[in-house]
Amino acid sequence: MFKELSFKGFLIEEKFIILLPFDGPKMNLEKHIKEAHKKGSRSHRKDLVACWKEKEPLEKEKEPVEAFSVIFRTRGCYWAYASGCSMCGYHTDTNPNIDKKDLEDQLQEALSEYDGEKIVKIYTSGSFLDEKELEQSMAVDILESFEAEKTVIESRPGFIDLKKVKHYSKKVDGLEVAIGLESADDFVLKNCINKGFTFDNYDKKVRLISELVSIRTYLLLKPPFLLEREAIEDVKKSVEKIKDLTDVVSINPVNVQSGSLVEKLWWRKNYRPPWLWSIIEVLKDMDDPIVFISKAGMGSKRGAHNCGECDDLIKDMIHNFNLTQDRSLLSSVPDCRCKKRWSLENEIEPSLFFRGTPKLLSDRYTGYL
Amino acid sequence: MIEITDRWGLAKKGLWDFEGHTIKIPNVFFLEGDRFTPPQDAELTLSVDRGSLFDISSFFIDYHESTFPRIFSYPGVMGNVLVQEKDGHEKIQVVYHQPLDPEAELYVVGNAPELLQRSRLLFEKIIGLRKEIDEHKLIYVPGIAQPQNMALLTYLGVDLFDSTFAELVGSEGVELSDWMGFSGETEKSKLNMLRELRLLRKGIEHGRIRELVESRVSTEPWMVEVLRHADHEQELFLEGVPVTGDDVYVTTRESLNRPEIKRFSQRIKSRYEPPEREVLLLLPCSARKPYFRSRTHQRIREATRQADWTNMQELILTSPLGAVPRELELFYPAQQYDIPVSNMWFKEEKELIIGQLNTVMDKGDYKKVISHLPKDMEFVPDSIECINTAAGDHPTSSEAIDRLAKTVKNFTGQKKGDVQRYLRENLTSFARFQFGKEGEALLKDAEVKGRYPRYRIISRGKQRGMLVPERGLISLTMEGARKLKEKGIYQAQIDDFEPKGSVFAVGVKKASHEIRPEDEVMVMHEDELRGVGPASMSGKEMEKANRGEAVRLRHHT
Repeated sequence: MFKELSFKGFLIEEKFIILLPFDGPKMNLEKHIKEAHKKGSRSHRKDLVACWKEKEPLEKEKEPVEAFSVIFRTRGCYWAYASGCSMCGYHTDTNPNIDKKDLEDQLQEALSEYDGEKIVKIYTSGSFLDEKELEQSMAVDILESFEAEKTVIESRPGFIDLKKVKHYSKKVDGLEVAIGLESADDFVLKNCINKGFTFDNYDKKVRLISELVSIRTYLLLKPPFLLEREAIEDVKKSVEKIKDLTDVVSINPVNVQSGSLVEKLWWRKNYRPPWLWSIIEVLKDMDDPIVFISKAGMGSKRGAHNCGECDDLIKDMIHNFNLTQDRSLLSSVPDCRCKKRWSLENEIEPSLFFRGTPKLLSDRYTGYL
Repeated sequence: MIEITDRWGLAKKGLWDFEGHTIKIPNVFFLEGDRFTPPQDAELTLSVDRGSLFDISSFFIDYHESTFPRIFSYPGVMGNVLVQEKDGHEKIQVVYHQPLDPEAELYVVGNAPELLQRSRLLFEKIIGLRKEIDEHKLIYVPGIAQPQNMALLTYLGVDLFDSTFAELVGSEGVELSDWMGFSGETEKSKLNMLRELRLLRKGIEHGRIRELVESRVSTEPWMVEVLRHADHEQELFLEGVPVTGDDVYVTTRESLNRPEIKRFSQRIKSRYEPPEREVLLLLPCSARKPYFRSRTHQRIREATRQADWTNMQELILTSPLGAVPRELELFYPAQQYDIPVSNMWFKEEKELIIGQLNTVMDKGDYKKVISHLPKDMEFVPDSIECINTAAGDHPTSSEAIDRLAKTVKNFTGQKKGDVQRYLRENLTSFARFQFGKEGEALLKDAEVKGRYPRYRIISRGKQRGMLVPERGLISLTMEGARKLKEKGIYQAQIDDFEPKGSVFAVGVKKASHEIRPEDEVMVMHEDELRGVGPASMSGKEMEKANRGEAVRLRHHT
């Protein structure tokens, strides 16, 4: 919808104006992301970042099954070295000096925790398919070490190629490739997230491999610089756009990660994580794909939260929804007085001409009560 | 199109023609929508979810085309680099850091909520915008208006406010007032905004907006900070401050720095040249104004009648004007100001008085200085070389009056000087104060006639002008204007037509930039005088505005 301008200056075309600064908007966002990254340094540890178990539904099974998740500590995401995403602080978990031996030790560490769970999810704070993070032989070793019915790996579209995916898909049953698309809107990808790829990049790679593997797509609820209502619309529109491409959608409400630009904005009250009401709103009219909601940080100040009084209850409901995919659960969400506040803020936000938070304003008054 | 009907400094009252509607300025946009009900007396509403005269919709959501542009820009902490706009009325621009659209009539300040964080930022942002746009263009600051700060924002040149803040804190059970917030309802806050709006308009109409501002800013320290920044950079405000006006109540520390007060003391430094006299008599101010009508000043006058008073310069020492030469006692705000009198002087006031006194003494060549001041003002005779005729007594006590009479007689002698020369010098001094050095021409080859204060300037039987005590200014006749016209000052150039009644801004091609509202202006077509009368706006504004009365002609060809 917007024209990409390569020259400096600005263009006025009737009532449609594009203004581009001298160093370009991306450069500006990138500059701020890099500054924020400087504050959160990379790790010196060489062990696994984390592994945990949780329940997740599996198509063939009636009841949710145990899923085993593991995060390998690698040198980390290539994009975090090149530029970085506004909401991401995962680079603080990574170590540029990880070698093959360290990864082998990490695999042993993981296997000692693994109890034959039917779903295995393997993360690297980057791309499993990036050979700079994991050499092919190491990747294959990891894949072959588990005996799951479904194995999920994650990668940026840039590292997806048919040969590699075909090769890996033969090593495990039910390979699922997860891609952090975040939003299907290129404007949001570029100017709010600095994701470094476009929807088209995602679309092409997904079509390339979707015959071979199943696809899981991560969407971000409320990237910085979106108003609450815009964030809800963005996820809804994105789901609409990808529902025929992806098997599973996983919605990640932003949690404020240390070392991220979002954290810097959050400290300055220029960012508030999404309300839990917004999550309910997103799920309400959505019935096509399987949808999971990430619960990371949920209910805390750094994660998606409400007023504090109703958070636990709604968090439980979202948990149950994740397991059952039963949308009728959502209509039974109890009303809380903060819901009024949420919808009022949603309506007020556009009239502030400010992509921060209304909290910046109302905080000026709490002293008098 | 915007028409300004009243102004004081940067504050203005007027009308905005927008899409066939006439909108009063200043005004408040009351939010309207499913969750927002504007008060019954609301004049202006802003719709957040449906099409109406003024509506807003989001950048990413395609609701409808809206009056305000749908816009994307980062918060200020990001350096505000990216701005993208869609839709929006051509007369409205939301301003972040992008170049200003000269065609716009309403400029919306983007990222305004950040301005409440730092007073300096608020001042710089709004004044910065004001400096770049024409006087009559409008500024809307979204989100931050409260009944308490509307006066200050108006003073900085903001014209439009909204009820967002009231709605936001109202949802937390806070009612906003012109003083502070307390538990209450949103509806009350909105009514309080309407009430404040009415006061703002009255304040601008009566030229008393400054007093409303001073009373409101005193409710929160950050607002005083903003006003101090404004008083520190006064040039921009002074242009719109008339040279005559209503009462000036000096009640707070901030009042000491009011623009018209600063202008008076500034002109003492720049324009004032005292008549040549040998004796300087220092007098206290009086509650009654102009000073000469007070009992004290009348008694002092009687005491000096036996001496050659034409050889004596009277200088009234006072706060906050510092020093008022007798011949300027009618000049605004010398006859309008009022201060709390407690016989206690602040350090700043003492410094101001001594400073202005020294300025006058440096300019004049006085052989003797007589101080006839009350005890609480003895800091004056203590800091300069003079004879103190009050000597601790009340200035109107018979002892003090006797001493004064004797001393003046001693210094000036009894032989009465040339009274006509004395009057001419006084009025020349006044003309210089009003018009600058060039104003002297008005008294050249002229006589002063009439009874004080209604002095008339007559030359060869024709009147050039008259000192009008109500205005505190010399009003010119065509004859006087003709005398001044070759000096090239206080002129408005018009096309070749015969103006009658009023000259409108649209007809003014060029105007002298020293013109302030209420100044006497000569309306010219090239070298030809077409009329004379008081200005309704500053010279700069005459050049730029397309609507509104520029000069009210008293006389014309």
